[in-house]
Amino acid sequence: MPPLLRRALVRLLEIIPVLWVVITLTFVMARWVPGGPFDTERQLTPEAKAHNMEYYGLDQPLYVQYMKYLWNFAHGDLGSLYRHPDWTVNELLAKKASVSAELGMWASLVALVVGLLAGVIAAARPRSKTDYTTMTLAMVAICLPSFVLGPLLLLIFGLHLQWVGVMGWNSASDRVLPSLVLGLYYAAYIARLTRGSMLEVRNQDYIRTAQAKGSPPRRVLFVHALRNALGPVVAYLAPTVAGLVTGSFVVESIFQIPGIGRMFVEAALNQEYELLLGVTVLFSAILLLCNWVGDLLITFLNPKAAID
Amino acid sequence: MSVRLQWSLFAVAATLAVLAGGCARRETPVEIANRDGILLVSSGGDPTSIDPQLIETLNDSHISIALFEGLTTPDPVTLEPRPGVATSWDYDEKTLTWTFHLRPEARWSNGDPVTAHDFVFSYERMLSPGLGADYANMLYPIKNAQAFNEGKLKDFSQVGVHAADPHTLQIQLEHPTSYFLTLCYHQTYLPVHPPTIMRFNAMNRRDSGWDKAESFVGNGPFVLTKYVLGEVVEVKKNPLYWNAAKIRLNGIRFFPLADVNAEERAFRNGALHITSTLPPPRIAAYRDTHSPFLRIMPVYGSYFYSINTRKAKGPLSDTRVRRALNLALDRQALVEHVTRGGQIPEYTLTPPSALYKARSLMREDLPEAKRLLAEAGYPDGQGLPPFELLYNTSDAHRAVAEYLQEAWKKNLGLEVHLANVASSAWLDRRHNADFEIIRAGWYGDYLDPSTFLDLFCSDNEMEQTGWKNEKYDAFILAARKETDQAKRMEDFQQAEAILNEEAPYIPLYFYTTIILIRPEVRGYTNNVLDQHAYNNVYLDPRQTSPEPQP
Repeated sequence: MPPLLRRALVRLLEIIPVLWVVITLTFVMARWVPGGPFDTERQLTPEAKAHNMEYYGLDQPLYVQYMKYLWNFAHGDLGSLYRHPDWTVNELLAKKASVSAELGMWASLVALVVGLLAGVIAAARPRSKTDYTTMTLAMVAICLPSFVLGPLLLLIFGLHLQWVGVMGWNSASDRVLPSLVLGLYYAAYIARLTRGSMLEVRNQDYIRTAQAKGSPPRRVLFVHALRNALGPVVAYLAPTVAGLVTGSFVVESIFQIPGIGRMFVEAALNQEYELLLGVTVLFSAILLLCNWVGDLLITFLNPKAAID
Repeated sequence: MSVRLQWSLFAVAATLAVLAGGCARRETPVEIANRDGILLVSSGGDPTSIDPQLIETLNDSHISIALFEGLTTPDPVTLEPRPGVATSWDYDEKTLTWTFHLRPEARWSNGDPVTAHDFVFSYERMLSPGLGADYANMLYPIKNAQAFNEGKLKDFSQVGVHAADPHTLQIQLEHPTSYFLTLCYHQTYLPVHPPTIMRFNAMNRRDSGWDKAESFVGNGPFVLTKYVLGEVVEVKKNPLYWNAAKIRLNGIRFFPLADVNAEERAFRNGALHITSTLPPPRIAAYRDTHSPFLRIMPVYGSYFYSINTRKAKGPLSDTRVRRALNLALDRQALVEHVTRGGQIPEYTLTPPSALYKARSLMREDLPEAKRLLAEAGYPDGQGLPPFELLYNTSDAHRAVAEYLQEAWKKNLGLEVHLANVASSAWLDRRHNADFEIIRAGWYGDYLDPSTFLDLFCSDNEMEQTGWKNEKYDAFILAARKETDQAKRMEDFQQAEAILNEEAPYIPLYFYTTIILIRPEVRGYTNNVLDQHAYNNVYLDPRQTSPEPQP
């Protein structure tokens, strides 16, 4: 088996024990918080509270609950919700995860396209007006938090110009602002990374060789330089995509998008132990997978930079 | 033009094109909904459940009153009980039995007739210890209900609910409860459809999913058509409702907008008819411009701080210190400059209503406060160790806590530390008496002073102030048993006077619900329980000024 393939497979299998550690740590940490899911403003009669705890198995010793969770997890049952008993964790994740995934995908696209373009343009003419303008805009995008940028854009395009709706995830125009708000921050980072990386690469011998051989400047830029400069970008991108695809609490709240980002935070606040575990495991799995893909891409782009 | 510039221009143009997609001014959701007769409402957050026996919050009840109907319904203004499923009722004082005559034309949304047996079944489910319903205690006025709910009684036929015949329901009370008819329209008294419950084996299960849209059956003016958590709850007019001819809305959409700023933006963008609240910083803007959308509704709720009177010989166990804390405040200033939400400063526990206005009130008197503090042994606050003011994390609560801290420092020379914890931890500490002074609040479930004054009775587990007063308890118990309404109110007056004399709490203001509502929504009347049956609501797009309120 070629060493690359073998390493890829080993890396993939490593994900399983990491996930197990994540489950265990999350389980312990969630239980550490004082109070429980049935501490509501109105004091439940002790019988009602005791009954609810019993119904969901929360009165059992922790190690029993832990084993039961692992057993159910292995069978694909992620558990129940306490505050919204009509829904199971599986149902909720299935419905919401695809929304967050789509939002994350668009945001990643924005980040990648805008970021790479800006970075390449800036690096093509270092220290020119283009360079300074692009990098300043990038700095602004990094410093402006999404909960400022979002309402600002909504104010302009939603309330004043009335071009878009301000909530929901129904029409095509509903996708535009959330993706921009979510993606522009990462676009800025990618722009800076790309520019820096490209500038480094430009001084390499093989670039001078290509120029000496008479390759058109655009080919030198996009084919030779960019390919070698992409390493740091890919390394940055892997966890970023994972984070984007699993939802953003802030953007989903501002734009009232039915994704899992909001669920994540609400689960923590409401002590929905099983929802919290489900979302955490999902996020971790995606993160680990994205890192795995990232590793492969880096090695593919530059086989000499074998990591380990 | 260089290629680079061409691409950049193309990218910008493409984005703008998509954004300006419907460049002709788009029809707003509200305009479309007005045409279709659909009401767009924000329900504040996700509903706990559609099952009326499992719901918890006021926002949940806004949905359940569209889908179910109880024996009585509230008058939109006075909240007096009016006929619902029951057309008339009689009361036998000797046996404490209410007899309800049900209307024969009442139907479930699948065509089944609504019968007295359905109510017996529903109350059995509500009280069943296996279900663990949070609010089962609302049914305790019914004979033996508490014993059954606590598992001490196994035979439900011993509980005071019987169907004498399919259209006659008899409810026997444990003790005289003069507000019982108002309880009958509370969401805990709503009926559920027995065959559906049995089919989903949901008698003792909270997660059966019988209330999803595909299987839902209800007896209210609307029926559930869509229920997606985090997205929307959609109901449409129920043609089989006995009074369907009088319902003018074709449907309602409830959006669970938990972010208050997103909610306000949605309203301004024409996506909502009614919001559930308004972010406090925005209230002034609407008020100052005399916006036709702003509506401030006083509600039956009280915002106060509870004092732990327990620590023997501790400063807070001394009535004089507690009274000084109360006397040294300016609640008008608090409401006007800090909360700025149109709240009403309160000087007693029970909010005023047509039924009852407390006579005894906390005063505000700074010289007297200083004198009391000195008399208690802490002149100018000297010698009083700093105590902790605990509240649940929120910008609004912090503002109030900071005001109290400042007022007591400036007026009495006291040092107060502020602490905040997440809501569930805050509840924990309240229940376990792990506090010195803690933020509290109470919304009345039903229109009767007992819902507030019961909180300081020594048998109440909610407010753990450790304060016990025999005379207070005596008045409250007397009021529980008394049938003469006037005498009951007098008992409450006496009890409240004792409460304000001893001051185991610090009343601050009465709640108001502040919402934005479009003028085309008519028939949405203010009342202190914030109950708005949709039976009377309709959309009239010709209206541009707000509906006059009682």
